[in-house]
Amino acid sequence: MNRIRLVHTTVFRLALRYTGFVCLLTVVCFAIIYWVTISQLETQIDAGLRAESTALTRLYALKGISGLHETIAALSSTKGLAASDTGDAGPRQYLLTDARFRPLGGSLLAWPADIAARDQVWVTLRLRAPPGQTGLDLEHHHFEMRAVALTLPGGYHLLVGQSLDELIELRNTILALTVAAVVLVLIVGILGGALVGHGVLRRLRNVTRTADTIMGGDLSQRIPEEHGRDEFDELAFKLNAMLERIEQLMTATREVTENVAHDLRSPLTRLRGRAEMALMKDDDPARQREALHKAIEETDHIVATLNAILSIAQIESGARRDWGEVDLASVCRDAAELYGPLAEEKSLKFSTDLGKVPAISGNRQLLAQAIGNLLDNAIKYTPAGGGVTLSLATNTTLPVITITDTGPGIPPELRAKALERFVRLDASRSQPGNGLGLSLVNAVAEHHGATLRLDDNRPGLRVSMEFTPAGD
Amino acid sequence: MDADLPYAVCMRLLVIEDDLETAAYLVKGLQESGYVAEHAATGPDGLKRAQASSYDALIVDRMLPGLDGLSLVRKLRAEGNGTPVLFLTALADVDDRVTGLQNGGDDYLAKPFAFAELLARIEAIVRRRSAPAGEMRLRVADLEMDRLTRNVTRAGQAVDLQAREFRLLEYLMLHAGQTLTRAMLLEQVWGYHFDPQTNVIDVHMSRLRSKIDKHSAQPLIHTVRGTGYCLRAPTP
Repeated sequence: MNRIRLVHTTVFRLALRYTGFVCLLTVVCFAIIYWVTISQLETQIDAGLRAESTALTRLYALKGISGLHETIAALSSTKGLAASDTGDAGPRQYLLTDARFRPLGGSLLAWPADIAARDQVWVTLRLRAPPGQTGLDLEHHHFEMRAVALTLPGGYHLLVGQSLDELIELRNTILALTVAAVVLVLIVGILGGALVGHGVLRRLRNVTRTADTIMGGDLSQRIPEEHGRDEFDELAFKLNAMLERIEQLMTATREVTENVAHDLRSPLTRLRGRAEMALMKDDDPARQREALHKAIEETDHIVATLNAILSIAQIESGARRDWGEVDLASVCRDAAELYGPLAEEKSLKFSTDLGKVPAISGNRQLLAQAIGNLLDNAIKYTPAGGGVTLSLATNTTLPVITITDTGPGIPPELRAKALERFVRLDASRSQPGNGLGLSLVNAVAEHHGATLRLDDNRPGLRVSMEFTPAGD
Repeated sequence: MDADLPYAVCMRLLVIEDDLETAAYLVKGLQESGYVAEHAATGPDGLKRAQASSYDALIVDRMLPGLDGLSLVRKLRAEGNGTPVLFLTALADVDDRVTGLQNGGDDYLAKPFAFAELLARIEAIVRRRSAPAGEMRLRVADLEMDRLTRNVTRAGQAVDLQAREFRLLEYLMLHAGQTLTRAMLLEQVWGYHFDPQTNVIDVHMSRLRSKIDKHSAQPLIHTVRGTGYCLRAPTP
């Protein structure tokens, strides 16, 4: 048995796909937040640095190199000069060098080699040394710094920098939050998917379990229906209806096989007997011929029975062959016209009363055969002088065909049995026929969604077939 | 039988049937009835023979090795070959009959069948072409029918017929001299393709007979024992 595993369910896979999509969306959202925040912060840092460097340049212009040197020495241990203006509180780094980049003062120990001497250069430096130390070695410092380098009048170089620690911290926080959000989405998505998938799986297992039992040979199994109105209940309902139909067909097929075996055995036995008799009477050619004739008759009887069984089986299989709109009145008229003379021949009073009824959809041949069979039966079982009627009328809106006779009728307790196959109520089998007439009529009626009823005609039998109008 | 088949002496039939025993029985029976019967055991062989020479009718089994009966007849019809075809089949439902006729078959007979039924049907399809279906005035001995005015006279005396009786007589007259089985009458005159259980046809025939033959010394409608009926002029 192949059991469906949770991770293979469609719902679970759908949940996974959806989770992936939500993850992607989360990442995109955080990327936007990241980009906006970082660029804003960078602008802020640059603005601070610009203000600071401008202030220092102005100071140099006012107090000369010694004044600037002093201020830088003081600043290297405190906050920036323009810190109060920009509102940022990051520790600033300074370096003042002469024209040949020899440090004169500040918190940095050497001029970064990759900065050329130009009017104003903006750079982001990666320094290697733990911050907090007063003298910062470019070789050992280990933090990132945004810096602006300027050349002052007189050839002096000034570098004002700001550690990006805060920025990096913020960046790391956003990254961590992104990862956390993605992990959360994944967990919720997978768990949710598993939960929903499990529910779906449980209900599908009801179906597969039933299918397994049925494959094991028990056609009576049905899928449990949970009295809801969702698609699974709908599916279960439809599948059960289908199983019901299949079981009916299987039963019908089995019955046909049993009936063939049962009802053909006796005529075949008679046929064999007659053939043997023909061989025994080898001295009398006339009687031999007689026996052979009887054998042929018996064969015809067997073929007729077989054909009847097969047509009933075919009708009961439900396939709608030659389906079309049928005018019941014309079918009845034709049948009456065919069987009427037979009734008269038997001195029966035969009358028809065919009203106008709505057309039905059906198979004309089968309906004609059914009505023919009913008339044939009525005529067969009614003694001379009796009466047979055929009428077509509407019962409220439904067309009803009624055939009555004044024969012996069928006792109430035997009426249901009379519709079964091979049931012949005259035990003596004095009348010709194979006992399939009424069951064929019943099969035709059911095939057309009509109800066949047997009632007491006081005296006699009243058979009625009530149809549903075309289009239903 | 020979008396019923004045043209049969030169009629050539081809039986395409894979069951050799059935084929042997058919060929023997047909020969005894005055036909020249040949046999082909497979679809392709049957097609080759039917194409190579002209037969008066083909008796084709539906299920054949190599090429099934339906395709065989479809091929012949596509080539413009109009030889009458009688299908034989072990599948006896109405649908098969319809597909058989739609695919170019002229008639259809379910196995097992009475040999007389087969003969009657072959006779009908072979000779159908010799009786002009469009002929408006039919005449058998002193029985006359005007299909336009629907007047029927026997020896000059008007015969009053009901609509169905008229159609029954018309069919008998169109196939005068041929044996028509009860099943054929039921199919052709009533359009019913099922076994009516009782021989209702006999009742209708006896009514028709009473109207046609009652006042005549020479009956035209004859019962063919165990098979059906035949309308024919008395042999002089």
